[in-house]
This record gives sequence, C-alpha cells and structure tokens, in this order.
Amino acid sequence: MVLSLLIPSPARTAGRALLNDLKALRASLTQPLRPVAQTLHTPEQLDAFTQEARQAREARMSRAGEVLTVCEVRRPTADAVTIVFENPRDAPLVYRPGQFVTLVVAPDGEEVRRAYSMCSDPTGSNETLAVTVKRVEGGLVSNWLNAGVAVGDRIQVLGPSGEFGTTPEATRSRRVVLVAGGSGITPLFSVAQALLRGEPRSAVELVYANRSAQAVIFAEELEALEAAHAGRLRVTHVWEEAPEGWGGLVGRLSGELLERALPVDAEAEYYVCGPGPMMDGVTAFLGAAGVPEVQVRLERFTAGRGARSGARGLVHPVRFARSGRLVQVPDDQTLLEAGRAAGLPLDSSCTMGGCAACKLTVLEGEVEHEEPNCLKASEAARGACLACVARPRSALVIDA
Amino acid sequence: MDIYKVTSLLPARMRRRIEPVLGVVALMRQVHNPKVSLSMLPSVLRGFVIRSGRTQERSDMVSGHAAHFDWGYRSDFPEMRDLYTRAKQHQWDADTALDWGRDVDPLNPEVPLLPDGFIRVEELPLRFELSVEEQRKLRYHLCAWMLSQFLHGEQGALFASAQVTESVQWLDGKLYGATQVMDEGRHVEAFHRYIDRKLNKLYVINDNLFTIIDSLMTDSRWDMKFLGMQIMIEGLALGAFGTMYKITREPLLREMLRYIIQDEARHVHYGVLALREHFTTRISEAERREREDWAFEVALLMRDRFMAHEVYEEWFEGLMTRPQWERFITESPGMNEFRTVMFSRLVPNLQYIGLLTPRVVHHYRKAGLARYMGGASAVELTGEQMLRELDIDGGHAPHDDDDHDDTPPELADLEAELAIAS
Repeated sequence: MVLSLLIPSPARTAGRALLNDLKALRASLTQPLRPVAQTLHTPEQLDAFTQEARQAREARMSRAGEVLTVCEVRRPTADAVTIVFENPRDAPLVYRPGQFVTLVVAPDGEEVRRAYSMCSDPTGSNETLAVTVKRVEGGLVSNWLNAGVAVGDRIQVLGPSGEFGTTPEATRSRRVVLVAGGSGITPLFSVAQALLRGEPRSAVELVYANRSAQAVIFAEELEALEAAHAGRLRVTHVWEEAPEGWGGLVGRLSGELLERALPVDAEAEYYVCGPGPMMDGVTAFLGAAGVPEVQVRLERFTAGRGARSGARGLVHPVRFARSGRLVQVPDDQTLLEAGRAAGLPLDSSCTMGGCAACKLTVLEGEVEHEEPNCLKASEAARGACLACVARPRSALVIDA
Repeated sequence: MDIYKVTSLLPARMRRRIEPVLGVVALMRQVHNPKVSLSMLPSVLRGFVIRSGRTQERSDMVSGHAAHFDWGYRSDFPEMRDLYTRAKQHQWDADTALDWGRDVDPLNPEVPLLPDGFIRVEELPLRFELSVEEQRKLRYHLCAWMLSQFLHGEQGALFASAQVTESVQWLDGKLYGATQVMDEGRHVEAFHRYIDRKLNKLYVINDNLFTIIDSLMTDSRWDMKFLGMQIMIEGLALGAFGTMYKITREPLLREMLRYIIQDEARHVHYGVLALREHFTTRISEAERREREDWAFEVALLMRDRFMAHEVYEEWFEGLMTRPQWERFITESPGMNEFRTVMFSRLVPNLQYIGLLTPRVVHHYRKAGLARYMGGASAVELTGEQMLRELDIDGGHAPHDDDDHDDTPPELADLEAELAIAS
C-alpha cells in the first residue's frame, strides 16, 4: 500500500486515498457483502410482491389454515390467558394431544406468527380447542393477547403441527412421566387429560416446576383431575419460592432436586416441556440414570424469527434434485419460500421450525437454521433440514 | 496443482473473496511494466480485495486533476468543433424517443432478450440439465448482468467525461465534452429505467470494471482518463452495445441501444482525435510507453475478466468450478462475438493514437489480439459509417428490418453461428 505513494499523482491526493483505502479495508472486513443481485423495488414490483405473498398465504390456508372464532377467554393466572376457539363443525381441526397451532396476528399492523400448544383434550369433546398463552416479558404477541383478546375475535390459525405428545390407546398399560416447567404445562396438560380418559390401565405422574404457587397454571384443574382419577395421577409441584410451612419441593428443578422429584424408570415414557436449561438438565439426568434416549420426548417452544446471523446479502444456487429445479436463492430467504416461489409443492405446516412437516434432506452444501427448532441432533447429523427456517449459506443440492 | 481444488474446500463466503483475487494475481503477472502495475495497485486493491463496489453502497474516488481555464476562447480544434455541432443536433430525450409503455417480459421466448445460441447451454459442465424455463432465466440474468455493467460503466463515463471536460486544453474539446456529459447522463437515465422498470434485476458492478473505472478516475493525468474512458471503456461499450443491438429481439432494448450507439460513436471519435495529437506530439517516449502498457493491461482486463462471475456465483457456484465457468462463458458464441466486435473497434484505435508500436505488438500477438490490427479506426470510420455498419441509417425513425443486407461480417458470422446453435 505504501507503494501507492509512488504513483505520479500529487502526494497529498495519494495520502488521502491511502487513508481512505485503509478505512475501507477495515470496514470491508467487518461489513457483509452487498447483495449481488439487488432487487429494485418499483411500485409495480411491490404490488407483485404483495400479490405473491397473498397467493402464498392463500395456498397455505387451503392446505392447513383456518380463521377461528374465540368463544371463551379464561385467566388461569394473573400472567396467562387461555383462549378457547370454536372448532368449526363442518371441518373441525383434528389434532393429537401435545400438538400446537400457529396463530397469525398483527399487533403492530405487521403480521407475526407464534406457536402455542393446545392445552385442551382432543379425545373428549372436540367442539372447542384451547391454547394458553403466558405473558413473556417484552413479548409482543403474548402481551398483546393477554391484554386484548376477547370473545368474538377471529384469529388465523395454522396447523395443527408437531410430533410431540402421544395418543391414548385403550388397551395399553404404561407409566408416563410428564415434566413441565412454567407454561410448558400446556401440551402436557392435554396429554395428561387424554391418557387419563382414554388409557384406563396407564398411570401418569406430573412433575411441575414453577417460580411460585401464583404462577401455577391449571392448579385447580389438576387438583380436580387428581381427585377424579385417584391413584392414576400424581402431581409433584416444585416451586422456586414457597410460602413458609409448605411441605413440597423448593428450588430450581436441577441438580439434587431432580433426584428427589423425578422417578427413574427405564421402562417409563418421559415427556418434557419447559425452559431450555430445565430440559437440558432433565435429559442429562435421565440419560445418566440409564433411561434410554428414545424414552424421553422433548418439546422446545420456538421463539420468533431471529438467528439470521449468517446472512451476507449473497445469492446461492439451490438445486432441488428430485424435481430437477435450479433456483437462485438470496441468503435471507428460507428454502420453503424459495421453493414455493419456484412452484415446487413443498409441504409445510407451522412455518416456524416447530413441526418438521417441511423436513428435507440436504445432499450437498450448508444451511443455517433459525434456533430454536425441532430438528433432532441425529436428524441434523444425517443432513436433514427444516425448509421453513433454513437459509442457504452455500450452494445447495436438496433431495426434493 | 489446481489451486481451485483447494479453494473449493473453503466455506462459500471465503471462496467468494479469495477466488477473484487469484484471478487478478494471475493477470497481473502478465503485465511487464512495473510502473503500470504499481499505478494500478491501489485500484486493484479497492476493486478486488476490498471489493468496494460490492461492500459499499457508495464510493468516493478522489482525483487530483486540474481544471484548465482558457480566457482567450479561440476555436482551436476544428474537428472537435464539428463534433460539437453534430452532437448538439443529435440530442434526444429518453422520455419521448422511446416507447416506455411497451411491455417487456424477460422470459418470453417469442421476444428473447438474448437468442438461444448466445450461450451453449448443453455445454455447461453440470451433472444435470437445465429445463427450458431455467435456460431462459439464465439468459435473462446474463442480459441483466450485461445491462447492469453498461449502467455502471455509463455512470463512470458521466463523471470521467466531466473531469475530462475540466482538464482538457482545447476549448473546442471542452464544448464538445459538455455534450458528452449530457449524453452520459441520458444513458444512465435510460439504462437505469430499462433495468428498473423492465428487467427488475440489477447486478452490482463487476470487480474488473470497478478496477478500471477507479484507476482512471483517481489518476490525475487528463490523458489517462481520456485513454481509459474514451478509448478503452467506450470501446468496450461499443462492442457490447453493438453485439446486443444486433442480437436482441426485444424492440425497446434494440431501439434504446440504437440511440445510444450513435452517441457512443461520437465519444470514441473525440477520444481518438485528442489522443493522437497528444501522444504523437506532446509527451515523452517514457510517458508514451507507460500509456501503451497501461492500455494493454486494461485490454487484458476487458478480455479475460469480463466473464459474468456474478451470474456464476448465483447460478453455479458449488455446482461447477470457477475456471469451468470461465471456460464456458469465454467460449460461448455470444461472448466471443462481443470480444470480436470490441477488439475490432479498439485495436485499430489504439494503433491510430500511437499506442501499438512494435515494442508491444508481440504482447498483443501473444494475447491473441493482434489479428484486429489494420482495421478502420474511429477517424477513418466516421460515426455515421459506424452506425450504418450496425444497421442504422443516421438515427431517426426506428426501423425493424433485421435482414438488412449490409450486416457487418462479424455479426453475420454470429448470426450464422446462432442459427446453427439454435
């Protein structure tokens, strides 16, 4: 670079240029590349985009979407709201205990999606279905729903989705251990009700961790269930803060408390849903205690869209090998969006990485997933990807 | 050892940064004048390593040239005065001259932007075949890439012509220069409008083009700017516009290029007039040698490096290697034709202005460019003749007679080749 001073233009200019170069060099090391193919947004084009988005949405709706009416709003705790939807009689949503739906709402005018597990039992009366939404500090949708949802509201619902949970079979006899943390109770409450109703020879134990007694969702309902199914449901509460004189377990559900709270049985089925650290602690504990991995089912609640750290404004070639299509995909676009735009009939349901309906196999290349998502480590190791939350980070060959 | 085998193991992002630098390092090794290498080094650094054209929304290029005033106002270059008069008479308005209401569907096979035979799709080194729709889209993207580079080149021309207008010594040159500034502004307007409204796809500036533009914009010597812009880049433009004009079947693009080519022909003529006088009478032998080598290096940049790498990265990176793409695109009939038209204009002009002495001829011969020597320069070939060659009759009413008899031989060759390929 010093050599540039030797070029026969005035030294001052060269010096200035040199400084600029060094600044630019420094900037270029930290700055992402500008999009290679930068789309110009003309009014006509924006119209086209909007229309395309509408068509894509309509296509999704015709596959797995409904607009449902809120028929009841309950307040299980000060910080949570249970939204009960009418399930349309002519075409009811059919779901398994443990599954979730994606609500499409627009608190700020901009459409956002959030997944919520059903807390209702689909094996009973299926005239309604319910989700419970716990208020998350700073959470856009959870606060909006807690503050504003009312009977008669119509909300777009995608799904149902999800692999989590289990369906009761009357002849089975099993020991089922449910481990819930906070709002992680919602799918497990559905599972518990269904098993108690539909599998008379099975026993259910629920270990339910909360910050305090006030935070316990479904406290009364659980008491009623315990009474109704004496001997078949045992609920163990774990509270971080407990009133004096309470005889239950106190503290975070981790370490030594796990040993005291969790029954260890290599034959039992475990269903775990709650905050990440709690789930990690539970799985590590059960693994160490000799419970086979397949006996432990997990449900992680996905956050909103994020984790696009790897987007550099590049466009990558993506080849869908089976359908023989070659598509140019900007690295901030998901494989699902790109594939759909190219006319490929890709499956999807929740569109937020929670249900694996859009699972594809990456034969070559690298994708980045939004975290968290429901892809298992073993699936990821085999090259599986979730098209709805996967974005290209290199050229790709996809088995689709 | 094939270095690209090693780079293919790198993550995509790193590969995209490293491979272009490897290309330009190989190119720089062909340059024999260390002074030229040195003077181009900052531009190469900005173009290929920092990649200013890609990483930044805006670039500032600092120039140290002097604005040269003439308080005597004497007419001092009659041929330039003549060009100035003709330029004034041939001004046109992109708003009204062109039919912007026309619908352009870049994927319509009935009205292709580029003909099927522009590239030989069947020779793409892929393990699979592209569908007919994908082939169409690839040609559309190639066309968008070329037009995007035209647009970026025109922006360079707009500023370079303004700089040259300031620093040139002839008053008649300054007056003419003002018309060229207007022309280039109109070209930016028209190309941008076409890309924005009709193609909806703009590519960033090619690293090589950025390097050439940066090199001449930041050089404080007016004749280097002149050489770079009026001879080299305008030569590139005439080659590219001429090729595209002949082969596109999209009427609005054809019509736009027809107008633009008429302007470009004057620009090259101006450059040739000014530089022959300057290079043959006003500069030292050492200075002339430096310009000779600089022109050769830029010719190499234009020949070797104008290879739609940006299209490769979006379409085929990871599916074929960069050298495989370079081979494919270099050997494609369309790009081959483009180089032929470009160098058959450029080399005679370099010869005419005195930058093709026996000293460098062997370099050109080695680079396969000597076969273009002996053709008509921009002075022997007046603007009007050049236009006629491209099937334009002076530049008034549009005429759609594609089978005009006096198609220049190189384009007739292309048409024959395209007919065979399709």
